[in-house]
Amino acid sequence: MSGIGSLLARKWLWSYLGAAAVFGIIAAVSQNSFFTLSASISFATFYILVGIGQMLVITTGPGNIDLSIPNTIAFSGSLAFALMNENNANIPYGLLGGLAAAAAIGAFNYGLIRFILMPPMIATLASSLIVRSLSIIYFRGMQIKPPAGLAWFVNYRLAGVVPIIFLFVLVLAAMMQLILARAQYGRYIHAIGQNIKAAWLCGVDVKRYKLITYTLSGVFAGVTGILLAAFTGGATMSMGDEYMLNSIAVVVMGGSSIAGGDSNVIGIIGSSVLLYLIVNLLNILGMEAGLRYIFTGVVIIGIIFLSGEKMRR
Amino acid sequence: MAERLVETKGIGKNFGISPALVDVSLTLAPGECLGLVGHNGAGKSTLMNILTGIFPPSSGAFSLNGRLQDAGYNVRAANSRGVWAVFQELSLCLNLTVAENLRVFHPEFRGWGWRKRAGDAITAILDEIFPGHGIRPNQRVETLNLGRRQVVEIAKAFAAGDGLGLLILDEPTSALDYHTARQLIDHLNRIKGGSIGIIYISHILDEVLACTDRIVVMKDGRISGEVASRDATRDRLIELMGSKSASAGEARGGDRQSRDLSGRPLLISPRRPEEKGGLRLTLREGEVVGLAGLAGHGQTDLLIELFDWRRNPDYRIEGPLTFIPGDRQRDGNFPLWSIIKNLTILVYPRVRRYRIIDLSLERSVSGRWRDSIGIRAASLGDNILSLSGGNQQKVLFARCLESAAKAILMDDPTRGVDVGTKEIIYRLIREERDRGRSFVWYTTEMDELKHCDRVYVFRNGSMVAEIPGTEATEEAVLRSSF
Repeated sequence: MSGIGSLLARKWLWSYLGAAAVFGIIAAVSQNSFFTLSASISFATFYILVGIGQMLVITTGPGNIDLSIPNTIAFSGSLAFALMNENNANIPYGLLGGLAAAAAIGAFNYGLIRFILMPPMIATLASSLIVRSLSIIYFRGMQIKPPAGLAWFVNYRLAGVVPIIFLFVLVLAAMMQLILARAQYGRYIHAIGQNIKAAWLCGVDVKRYKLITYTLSGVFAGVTGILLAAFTGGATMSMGDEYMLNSIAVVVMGGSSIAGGDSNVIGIIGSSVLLYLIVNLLNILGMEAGLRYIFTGVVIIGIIFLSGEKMRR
Repeated sequence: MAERLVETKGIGKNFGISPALVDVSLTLAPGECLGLVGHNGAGKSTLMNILTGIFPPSSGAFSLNGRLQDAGYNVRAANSRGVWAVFQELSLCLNLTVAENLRVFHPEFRGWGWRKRAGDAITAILDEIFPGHGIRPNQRVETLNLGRRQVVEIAKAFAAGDGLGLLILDEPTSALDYHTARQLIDHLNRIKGGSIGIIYISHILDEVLACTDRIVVMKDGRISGEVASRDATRDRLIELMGSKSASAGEARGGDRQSRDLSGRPLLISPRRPEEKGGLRLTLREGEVVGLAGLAGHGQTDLLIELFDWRRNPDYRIEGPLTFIPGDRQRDGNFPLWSIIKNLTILVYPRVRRYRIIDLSLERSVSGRWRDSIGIRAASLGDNILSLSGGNQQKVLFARCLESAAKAILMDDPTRGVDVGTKEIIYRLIREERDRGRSFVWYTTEMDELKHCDRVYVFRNGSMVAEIPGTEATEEAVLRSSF
């Protein structure tokens, strides 16, 4: 009994229970449910990536958030593909360029926060607008297709079922989990998120670690942008739009504390899969878009309610 | 038969399987001031939490004014029945003004002009108890230093006026300077014999002796003795608390001999010769330097400046330094973390293999400190907040002493810590000093200055006197502070 109690106290568990429940419904109403699961996992990959970046930022304490993720996705994906120019040989340059741009956006975000003392919400939104304008200037109307090699990679499925990018992201997530729990960087950002003054008095270079964190969030968005553009057959300006709120949703549903200091990589994976399963379920049921959003919102509220995220401080 | 304001009968309280209180029976008459002393973890705070309705007892019963209190007794009920408490961890809302805070706890200030009335009420109380307090009612609490916040907290309880029946003061003076603490004690002595019953909890035994009629000593969740204040002595109380009187004797004697450290290398020295603004601090290897004077007169600010050693314009400093705060909740604890994680944050390079923290190494480092300084925890994996205040402070000491820093800055590190823990801390400081570690030690307790080689006295933000440790008596320090 107490075993079940302590299991239910694990906040990340609810997203997995939710995912299992939704999959059960899909299996009941659809013949090719495993195909649906496989497709959901492919798309969930991108939620996981941006979710981890967003989680790092949120972990550094109350008020910290990255709202520039959607436009970073679009810009770095577009830039990478422009550099690749549909040529396999240029893939390394494209990756490097796209990720460098994403990192620069992340660092710029923290620059605004630190030197102009803007609240993170406003700073990242402002830089997001700048990045969007740059996208409009340089990439508008361009048909930027992925090189064949990259397109093949992102669509490859092991045994025809398991998307290889999902495995790639799982490995990345495992690494991040290790870093967060067992490396100095991870411990420090948790310390900053729990008690910034105590962290400073422990000699933690708070500004440096926040800079690294915002930069990493940018890089995760950049990786997402490149993979997503390859997966969907081309970079577009609006391809990141749904990731602003969903990146936050998967963090909170996954059991990380919105007030910072407590992160949860495992939960992000579960809640990302759950969110996409819901989308697919509602598609299968033929629900119209407006209703889909309502239903998704209700599920997010329900999971957060069940996992008992309390407002602290 | 004497009137009974409070009577507890065989109260017990368990947290999980461990008993925090066992069979506690005590009484308090109106107008009486009862002292309650004992180590941290002796059960004093648990008992007060029951009396103030924060949680119910596991067994036993208690009555207020002869009326038995049942399961429905909670904080609101306690307040409405005249029970008010001032706790060590302050309950003020930082973003509200002094007057607004009064309204939070005393909703009778309502309707037009409540701010003015609440402000007048608190000012009247402050003027009466703490003349010269310098607090304005429209000041936001966050702009007040810790000592002044404590003063407001105390005044807030008195604002219940005639509705005040039982006043519980839990370490009310730990953040106060000598002068302000004296004002409170004088006030308590003035109101004694009236209608208010007072329970006064403090680790500063001289204060307890000075303002109470009767003293109850607790140990390991039980009442271990009761003495009339006029017959009590420090030694007798310490004996009842169960700490070895030998070590207490040693502490009182301190090691008041001057040590010649002039040949040792300087860790902190001024970049420029002294200015008219005040003295400049120096610190040699193996030296303990005390910072004294009234609370909040710039001691902490200096420590923070020194801690930011790379950017310090005034001092040449051999870094890195570490910092032991006195306000654990605000400056020390990481509240979501275990004891182990709180303890090792300064020493990751030492518990890592291939850049990854080795959990067993981390555990063994923490275990070593638990054994050597007696951190009383069921498991080192437990949350830091599961420890009593004194044990949390031990963790903060372990955190800093485990690091290789040559100099350690301490910001009133024994604030609200029990006598036994203090002895351990003094012993640690002596041992580390003899190994060549240096300390800059701000303390609000005169008694601790005798552990220092030299003492700087602060007044209005600067150091106005330097006194050799052998001459740092209460009188000498007070003479320089006023």
